[in-house]
Amino acid sequence: MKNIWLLIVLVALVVVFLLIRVNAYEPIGYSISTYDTQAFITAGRVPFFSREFFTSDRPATISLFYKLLQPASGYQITAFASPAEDIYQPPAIQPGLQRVAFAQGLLSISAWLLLAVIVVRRLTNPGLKIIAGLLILAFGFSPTIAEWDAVLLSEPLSLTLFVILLAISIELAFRFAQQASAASWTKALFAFWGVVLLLWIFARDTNAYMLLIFIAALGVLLVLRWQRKFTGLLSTRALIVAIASLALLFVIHNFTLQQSGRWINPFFNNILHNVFPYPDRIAFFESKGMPITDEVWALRNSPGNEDGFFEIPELMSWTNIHGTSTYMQFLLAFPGWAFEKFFTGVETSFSENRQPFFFPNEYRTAPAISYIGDLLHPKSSSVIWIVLIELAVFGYLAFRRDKPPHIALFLLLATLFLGEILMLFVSIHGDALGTVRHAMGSVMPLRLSVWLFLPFILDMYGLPEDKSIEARKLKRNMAKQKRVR
Amino acid sequence: MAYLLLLALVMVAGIVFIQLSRAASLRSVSQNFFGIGFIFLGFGLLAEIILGFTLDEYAAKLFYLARGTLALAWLGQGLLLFLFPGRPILRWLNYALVIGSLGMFVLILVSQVTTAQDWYSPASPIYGQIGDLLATNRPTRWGTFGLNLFGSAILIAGPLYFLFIQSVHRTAVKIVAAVLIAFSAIGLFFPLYWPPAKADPFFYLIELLAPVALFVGLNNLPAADIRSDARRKPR
Repeated sequence: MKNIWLLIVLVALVVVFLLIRVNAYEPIGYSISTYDTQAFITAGRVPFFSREFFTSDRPATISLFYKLLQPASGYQITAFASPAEDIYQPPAIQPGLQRVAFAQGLLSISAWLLLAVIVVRRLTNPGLKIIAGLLILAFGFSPTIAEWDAVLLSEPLSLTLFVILLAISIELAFRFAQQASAASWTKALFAFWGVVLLLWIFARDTNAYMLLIFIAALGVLLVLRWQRKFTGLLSTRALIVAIASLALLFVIHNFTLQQSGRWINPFFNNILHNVFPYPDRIAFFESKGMPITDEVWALRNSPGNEDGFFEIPELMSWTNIHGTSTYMQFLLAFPGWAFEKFFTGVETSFSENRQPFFFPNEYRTAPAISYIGDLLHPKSSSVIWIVLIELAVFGYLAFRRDKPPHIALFLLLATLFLGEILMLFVSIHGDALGTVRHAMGSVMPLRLSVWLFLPFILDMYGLPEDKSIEARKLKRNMAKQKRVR
Repeated sequence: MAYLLLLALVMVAGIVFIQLSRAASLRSVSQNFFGIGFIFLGFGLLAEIILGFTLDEYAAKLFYLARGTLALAWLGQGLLLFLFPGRPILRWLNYALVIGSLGMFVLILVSQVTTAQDWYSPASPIYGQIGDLLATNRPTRWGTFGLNLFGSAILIAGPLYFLFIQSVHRTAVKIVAAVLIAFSAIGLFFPLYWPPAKADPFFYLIELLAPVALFVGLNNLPAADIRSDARRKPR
């Protein structure tokens, strides 16, 4: 009986939030294009089974998305925005592109529902189930997320894929920790996880850096496995295969990124803003062979996204070969500046929480919804500290309770947190322009973590202490003492 | 950092659910009182969040009643019942608290919003504005003060009594629990009578940490241990 009431409340919650999502924002299918939209359309025309598709000017997943949804009549941009040039138009139905916008909106709604369902399923306390459902749906259907779904850029799809990845990862963490052998459903889910991971990695270039943290986390599990401190569904062989696969994926992504040359424009932005104003940094790049000729120097006052650099063959040939490695060496040579830039960049990254491409329709999006959205998507970088504290409490409780699913979930969430921080670092140092937009892929998950971790922590705290755990520990200690004697 | 208020609300809502399910399984009156106390804290935070957006008469009254009047008293009574289980006099005190709370409800309900609403600032903490916003009469103000003083005194003195008189063995957990309860009571009482001038990070942290510290403290006062300690206590 209790379960039926809970189900009714949860279904009512979903209905209410769906009504808000549909009515409080621009209709699903309305969209706004940017300069990048044309690039996605062009990249989508390249044949899928070709090297060019994966090394084109735009990430492969987004190009694939545009390719799959392209109607016979093609795409037509009729609503365009460029905040840097003060060009604004309201979102509209754009021929062909309404399919992309509709798919983006629908996928986003489904992803947040999926996350809510999986989290609610994995909580014990009925009240906390309601709180978790409420928080996740309110977060996912807030103006911050819902408005982005109308923008034809890579961010919305990347965010949606992350939410799906997170939802499946949570489910898999519980399954891997609870089951003695993988059920067919778990195998299918794992395969789906792999596909979503692949799509997410190729949706935005910074996403690939999460793989490094995944590899490190699996490496730790492997060491624990060898020391017989970790037993679970993941065998030594499975861990080695997973590490090798993820490493291969990282290498492939890096290779296609290097070949694509889409990192060159952000590289020049960095040179313009972080190097040219400082003589010692110019000297560093010159010592690495960068040809800072009169022609290059003449462009030093450009605000960014400077096409002129691409027309200097000498500079381009040096950049293609030495650009990335030299910039990495530069970060290592100026560590104080690199971290200072990161910390100021973090403040900037959190300073906005709405898309800048169109003005929200205040008739549809009530100020109260925006207010709640602002609370759920804080503009304060203190979010990172709050998440860190929550994570510490989560870990303490998980290990204290000694429940494998909670330990597995903690390891997953800790891994994601570290990955998000690394992604934030790469976003801030990756391009001197558009920091807020580029960092969104890590800022949004960090903001979500504030609300996502809490129900799990409270649920764990509310669970009665398992006497059998104490008994198990006592038995283990006695056996150890016996051995010592 | 206004999001910390929402975080505090979520935390308190979760605490309420945990507390009430615990009270149901233990059939404990004191746990019920704690649960109700946390519900009042939660309503107070909810009202604070609403008032951070716009001035709403009902939200102002809810804040005055739930956070400003009843929360501390019910939490304090819960601690009293927890420390002295089965004392008949406490049952009468329960009735008195319920009647007092109902009386305060009526008094606050009939209070009117004053012209202070014209210079109300949603960005500033409600604690410093609520006194001017509601035209409360003397019984309301003294009733509020009495209930807050009663609750705070028990929440501060109770843990000390528990530590130095009731317990024989003062373990680290007991000491930390007692300190958490006493400090959270101070953190909950002070803003009501020494309101913060502006919503700075310290204010938000107190709003977030006080209920959490109280919950953790109350959860780590070992009830069974108290009774066994009391039995073993040398006369």
